[in-house]
Amino acid sequence: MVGIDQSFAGLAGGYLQCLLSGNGDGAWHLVKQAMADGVPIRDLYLQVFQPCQYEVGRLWEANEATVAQEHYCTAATQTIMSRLHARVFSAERTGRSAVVVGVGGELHEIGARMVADFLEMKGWDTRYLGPNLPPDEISRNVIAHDPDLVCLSCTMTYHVSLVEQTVAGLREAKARAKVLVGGLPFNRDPELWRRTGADGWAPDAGSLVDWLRAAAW
Amino acid sequence: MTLRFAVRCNAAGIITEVLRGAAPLGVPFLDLLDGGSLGKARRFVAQVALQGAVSGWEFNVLAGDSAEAVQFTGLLDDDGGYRIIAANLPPGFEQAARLHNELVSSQRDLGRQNASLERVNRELQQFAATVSHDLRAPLRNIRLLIGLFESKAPQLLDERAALWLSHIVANAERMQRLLDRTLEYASAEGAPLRLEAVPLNEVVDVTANPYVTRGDLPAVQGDRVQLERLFQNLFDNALAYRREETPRIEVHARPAGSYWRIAVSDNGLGIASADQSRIFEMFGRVNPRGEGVGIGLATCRQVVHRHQGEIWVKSGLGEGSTFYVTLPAAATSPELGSRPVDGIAIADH
Ligand code: B12
Repeated sequence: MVGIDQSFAGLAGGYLQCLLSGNGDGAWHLVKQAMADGVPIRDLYLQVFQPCQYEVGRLWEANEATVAQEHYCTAATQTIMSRLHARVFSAERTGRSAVVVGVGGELHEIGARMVADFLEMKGWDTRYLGPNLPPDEISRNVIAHDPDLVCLSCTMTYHVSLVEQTVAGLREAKARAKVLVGGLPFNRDPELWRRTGADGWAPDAGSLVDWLRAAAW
Repeated sequence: MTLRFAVRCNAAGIITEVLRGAAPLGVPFLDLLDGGSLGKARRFVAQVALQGAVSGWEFNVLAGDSAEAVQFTGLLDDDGGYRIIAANLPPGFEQAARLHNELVSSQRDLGRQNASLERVNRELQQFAATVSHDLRAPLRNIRLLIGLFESKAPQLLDERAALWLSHIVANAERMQRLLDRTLEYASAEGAPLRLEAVPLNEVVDVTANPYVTRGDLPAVQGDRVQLERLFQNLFDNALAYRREETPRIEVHARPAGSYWRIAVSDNGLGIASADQSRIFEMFGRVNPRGEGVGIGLATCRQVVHRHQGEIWVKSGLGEGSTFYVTLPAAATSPELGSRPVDGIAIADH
């Protein structure tokens, strides 16, 4: 998983404090300031947004944050990510394309969006289908758009079987794309992805794009 | 919040009695929960034993092949067993998450489309710049050759040929203007803005246009070169569509929030209201026989938009035209707020 760089601890801490107290504007202000100071989007995503989401989950588990707070943090971070779009989508196109989607029933979507945004920042054309699509819908979409890469995201352990089904469906439909999987269950058990029939796995959006580049995909 | 279930457990955590709602008997209470909540639930049980009463803990309860967040209260009984009350969180959380996900997904789509439109736009600008630049050289040669013809071989031309040649020259000149303006338009888009406080008095005066009079104008936050281009084009446009009488162009300013609204009015032909929406478009020329090439006002709009301002026109056929432009006030404009109207009193248009 992502090693958290201590130099971002202050920023991430301030950001989380803002969100836990319901101050989305304050959080956005910190992000804007960080960008003005030259912090790249990649670090904002992986060193601020992601660890803060994990921390919110931990606080909930420790009974120090409520579901309402967690919802607020998530919604505010999603909104802030939207406000970074102009920077995310400005990369030079490479002509490669990807479909990114959360498997059926999944409501967790920040991870999948990060994956899509990271690909976009590397010049991929991404089609982000949201977090909540059943296997045959995914197959239909992939066949229709014929991307080079399919990224399946899954957070709930009980959705891993849906990932398997989706991969099987894609193979059956003879989709040309390589299929990668990722999300919490695969991070907890780094061998789990093999069971899904996918072509690969990456622990986070940053290592995904690094790996794609190293493999010259 | 509505009650989901209330159960009694023995000291080992096995459900021994269902007090309210539906829950299985004889199984460990922890079995009702999603695996991700177990650690938290164990701490909850420990807290109940320690404090006697604990409330407001949220865990995820298995429901079919998914899980739902539920709020728990625990009460210790004298025999070491405990009662557990589970309440559903207010409905709508999940729905809200779903709707929000949809919203941000469509925002993302819009963001992507926007970016690709901008890319296409940039490519078009570049194309226009390249083409107009490359066309200028052959055009120059044509004009040079015609000039040679006229000066060195006038005896070869009869009256009709001379007339035709003069038409060719006029057209070549027109084409030259068209290319210059296209190039100007295309290159303005790409050039980064160099923002500074620019006194509009200087910008207007530098055009040295004898038909222009102005009030005392403020300083705006802008790119001097582009602002000069803006006013130059507005004045050129006014002159291109002048009437027989002596042209008169007036420039005034009044504050509009953190912006200045500049009015450039002329006594020219005016623009029919049906044509007013077209004039700011590329080649949106109203009078095809006029001198304009139909790029000037598009350039104006481009410059104004790049300064986060607006441009519009108020006019009627035969009434002259007033072009309004809003531009951000200079960062340290002392005039703003302290002086409501510029030196020359004008009626609000
Ligand atoms: C926010 C959140 C929610 C929000 C999500 C809203 C939204 N729009 O996303 C809501 C409130 C909807 C929610 C609901 C639920 N949640 Co929740 N949620 C979280 C929380 C706090 C943060 C998730 C997050 O945003 N992470 C940040 C992103 C950036 O990280 P990520 O997902 O890991 O993604 C990265 C990598 O995994 C990887 N990656 C992800 N996908 C892919 C794909 C590919 C191809 C690749 C290569 C890489 C990759 O790259 C990403 C970016 O770097 C987590 C806590 C946690 N530790 O994760 C709990 C958590 C995931 N939720 C949990 C639970 C139990 C639930 C619910 C059952 C609770 C309930 N009762 O309602 C429901 C289930 C809903 C459903 N059907 O999906 C548990 C899951 C336990 C488990 N796995 O079994 C967690 C861990 C909390 C906990 N400790 O109990 N949740």
